[in-house]
Amino acid sequence: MKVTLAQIAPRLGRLDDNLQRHREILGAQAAEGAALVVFPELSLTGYLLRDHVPHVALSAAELPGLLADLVPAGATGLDVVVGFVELGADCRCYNSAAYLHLPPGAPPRLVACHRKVHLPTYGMFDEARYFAPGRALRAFDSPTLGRCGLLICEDLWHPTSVFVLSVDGPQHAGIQTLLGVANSPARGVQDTSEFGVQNLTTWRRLNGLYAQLFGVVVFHCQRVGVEDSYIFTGGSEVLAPGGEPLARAPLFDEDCLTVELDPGDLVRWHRSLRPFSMADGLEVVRRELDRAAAEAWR
Amino acid sequence: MSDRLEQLWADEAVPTELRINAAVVERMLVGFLADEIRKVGFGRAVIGLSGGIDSAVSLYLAARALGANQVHAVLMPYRTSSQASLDDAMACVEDLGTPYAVVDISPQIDAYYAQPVVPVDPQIDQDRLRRGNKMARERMTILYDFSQHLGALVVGTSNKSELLLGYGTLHGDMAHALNPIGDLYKTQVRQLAAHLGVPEPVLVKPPTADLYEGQTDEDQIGYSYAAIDSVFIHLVERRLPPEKVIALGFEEHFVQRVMRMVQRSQFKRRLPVIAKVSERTIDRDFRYSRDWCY
Repeated sequence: MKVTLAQIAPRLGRLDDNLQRHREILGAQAAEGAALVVFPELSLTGYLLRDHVPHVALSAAELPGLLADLVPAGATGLDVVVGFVELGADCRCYNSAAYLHLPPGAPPRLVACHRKVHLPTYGMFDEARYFAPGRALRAFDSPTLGRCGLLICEDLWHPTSVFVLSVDGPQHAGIQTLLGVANSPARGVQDTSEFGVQNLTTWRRLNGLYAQLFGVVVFHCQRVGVEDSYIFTGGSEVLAPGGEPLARAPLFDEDCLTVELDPGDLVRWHRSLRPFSMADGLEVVRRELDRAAAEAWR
Repeated sequence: MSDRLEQLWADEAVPTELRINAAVVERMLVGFLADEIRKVGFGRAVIGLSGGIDSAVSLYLAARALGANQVHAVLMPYRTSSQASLDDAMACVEDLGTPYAVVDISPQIDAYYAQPVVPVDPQIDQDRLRRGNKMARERMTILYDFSQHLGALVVGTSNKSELLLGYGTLHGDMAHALNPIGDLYKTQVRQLAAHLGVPEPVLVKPPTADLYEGQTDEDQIGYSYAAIDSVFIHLVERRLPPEKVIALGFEEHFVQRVMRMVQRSQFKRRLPVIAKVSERTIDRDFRYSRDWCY
């Protein structure tokens, strides 16, 4: 199975231009037989939108129509992850990522849509001023990747997000694939930073930890480009369960990082070597969480 | 890492926490300049070149971002400016092969101060400061005149140390379209300069605003940039309160002085405040990025 991480530089606030770019990349990837293409967080709109947020908002139901006619009959179907500003039924805007399936010669189908739960609003970030927080952490079945989880940037700084996804499924099977999409401005240029900039060093630690602890394949797609003073890092990567990096995109440059692998196979092999499940002791965890929540504000 | 950078670390005893990965910083700042200048429809830059290290670094970065022939250097000496500064600036443009112009600002400065209605300060220090500020603003108007003529954006040359200290002229050298080095302390700009290969005399000479003959920044401020930047690491990057920084062994008088300079110059780092009277005020509840829809 061929998976591509499209490490692009979206243009700020220019939905039509970005959509055109997505369609070009998807058309080319479909022709090359890709099974999945992952775009970064807010790939259709750019990041530092501020008051422009509502002007580029779309309902999730509009997405399939925008990605129509890309996979001709007779070709292999293509799955896509895109980042966008979602206009909810409650008329609030969400920082969302959607997973779509584009069958050959037929209209695209929305498989899952995740609304960013954890909106960073500190230091350089101001997301909760413009976005409403998501209220769900749900795994889903993807047509190509099996049980799948999709998280956005700050969601991945909360290990509870990945934990919930890792026990969500029949017999608590949990996710086999963790799709992470992010927009990380480069910062921390001390010569001691292992991967050049401190934020990327941290991301690589996090991704490695999730792959190892949860026994999942990690697809992590970052953006590049510049918005005002932010220089986005890039450095997208794919990790095998256990944490071994399988492919890494360059820093700061656009890139279509393509890997050929069978995620299900990798996960089955990895898990067959360790006989425990993330759901082991779940009752204890749940009881203790409930107790801690009840006691926290007494 | 380049040999020159390694040498600089050894010679100057650059504290570990101020050491940068200069290759990564170069890549970031070259990308920043190319992206931010080109996406707004420009392809050129204009830079006031003093002969000092900051403007040299901005010039080298811009030349790598846009191509040397797309970066125009303007050298703007006053009659008391040192010949060494002019020579050092020339060494940079000759090394890169960028187009340049030398504009002597003496006639307009002297004509202004020769007018009887223009007040004279009896105190020499005050008078020097006023003239220095006037010259910085004169240079700014020249750069913006070249900017319009060339269709080139003015690239700034202020580093983080002097921006924090307020050691710059508002609407003078602090006026520009974008600044690649404003988040690098002076000691870090020097590391980047060594990595970029700026001419040796520019790299090694003491920093000076060239306000008057023989003046150096460090004499005028009273402390070395190495010391100031070390304090900034604690005060700014690590957000320690001054008393904690003093407890680390820095002189109390020094830390308090630096802190006072930062607080008193905050206005220089902000746009003028607008009194709010409407429902939606620029920069308060009218919030867009500068790159809005570019």
